[in-house]
Amino acid sequence: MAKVTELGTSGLLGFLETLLEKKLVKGIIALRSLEDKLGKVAYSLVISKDNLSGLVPDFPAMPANGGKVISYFTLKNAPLEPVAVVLRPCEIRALIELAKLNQAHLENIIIIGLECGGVYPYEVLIDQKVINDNLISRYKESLKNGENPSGIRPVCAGCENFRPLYADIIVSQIGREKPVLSFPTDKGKEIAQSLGLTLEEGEIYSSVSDVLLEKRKEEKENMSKRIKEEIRGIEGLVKIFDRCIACHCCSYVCPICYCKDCFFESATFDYSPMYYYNMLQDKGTIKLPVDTLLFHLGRMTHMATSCVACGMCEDVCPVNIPVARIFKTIGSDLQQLFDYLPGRDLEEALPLTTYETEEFHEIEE
Amino acid sequence: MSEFKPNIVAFLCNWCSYTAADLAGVSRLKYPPNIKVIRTMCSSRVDPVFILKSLLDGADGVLVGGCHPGDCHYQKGNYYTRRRIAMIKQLLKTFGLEPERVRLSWIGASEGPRFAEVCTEFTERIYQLGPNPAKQEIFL
Repeated sequence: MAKVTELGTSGLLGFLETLLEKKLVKGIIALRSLEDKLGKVAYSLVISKDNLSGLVPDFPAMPANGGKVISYFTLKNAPLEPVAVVLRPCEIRALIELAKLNQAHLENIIIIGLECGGVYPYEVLIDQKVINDNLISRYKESLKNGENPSGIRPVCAGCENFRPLYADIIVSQIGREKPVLSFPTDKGKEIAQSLGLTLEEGEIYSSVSDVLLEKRKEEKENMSKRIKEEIRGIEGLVKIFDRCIACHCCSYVCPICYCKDCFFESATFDYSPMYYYNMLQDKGTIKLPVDTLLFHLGRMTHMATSCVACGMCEDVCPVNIPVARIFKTIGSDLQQLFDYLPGRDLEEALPLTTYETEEFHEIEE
Repeated sequence: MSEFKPNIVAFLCNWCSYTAADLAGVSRLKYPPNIKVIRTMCSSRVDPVFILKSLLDGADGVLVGGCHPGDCHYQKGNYYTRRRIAMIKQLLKTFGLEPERVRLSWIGASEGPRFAEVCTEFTERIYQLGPNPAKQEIFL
């Protein structure tokens, strides 16, 4: 139970308008529809009321991980005046991880977190040319029954963190006629007070949402089981990753892969012909470019402890490697190992930047 | 195929394990010749990617040697190493890639005999595991 309030008929957009109108925020960052009746959307920064109408904050698409978007916006320093950002839970978690890595500044950022039913692969939305209301109404219909909408990103279907772990304002929408807001942080409470909202005791999330949570947990288990069965040993890994064309797009769109100079693109991997020749001594032939599997496994050791399983990597993969499902699987294993959940708490140190003096004695030999 | 001779890469920290290896040599201790030593200034210099690269390029085993916890020349490097090795072992385990091929051992500078012992034991284990299957893969 918490203090909650139901939004009026004007919905989330009306709420954002009030925030601007009452000058509680200077700007808003949210998804904007690029063309009417098309599935094309992009994140946009709005500072005037006139430009609000094109916003579609809860449109089930993720053209970029919002955490990364906010990181670009606040990389050097936080804005001088409050800016509200409407994000999905995995985007918020990515943002928190980036803040820990000193890649984002959260002062004056008001996080409005959406309870998330999942997003469609962006390709699907672009392909459909006309986003007939069918797709969106089917999406809403499935969620109303506590079911996964068909066709959403596979990692979304197995996402058990679809409720914001951290947000100033939480928007509960699943199983609700009208969105219900709650205000977990001081920043959020201040806003509720300034707006003169009447808050009542109530559940933050609906019972339908609980049903969905159970289904998602089950799907997650099945997903990682499937992945682990598919990848058994080096042979399985090769079977999945051999089609990798080394475009590195998965790391470009990854919110956690923030390094400007990626290790895997460094001169470390510029080999001399002699090196190739030596490699061939044992094998007779080898796939070029080399080290494509090393890239994926290495990237796991670099970022999987912070992987928020947003699914951007899988969305952009041109050869349909189930990258996100693999990273979600390994990520959750590694996070369990360190009893860590990315984006849970800004104060929680990244697992590989900290240690206990007495731990993991079982691996010392 | 000719008889299997394990190829083991050992990353040894300059201050303890490498010194111990040196001591083992000076003391004329016997240990198998399958260990190829790479000296690093600290065991925490070993990026898990080094270990993966060794394994994917066909090393049959990887040994990481560092100072005993609390004895690190840089105070706390080996604590980070331990977390990284724990991580990489879990990664190998998740994908069914024989985590036993990676070994973390604390070998102090004065422990020449322990170095010889670790090498003997580890080589023995690799003999039992057999050759690294990655050696046969072309599409890595």
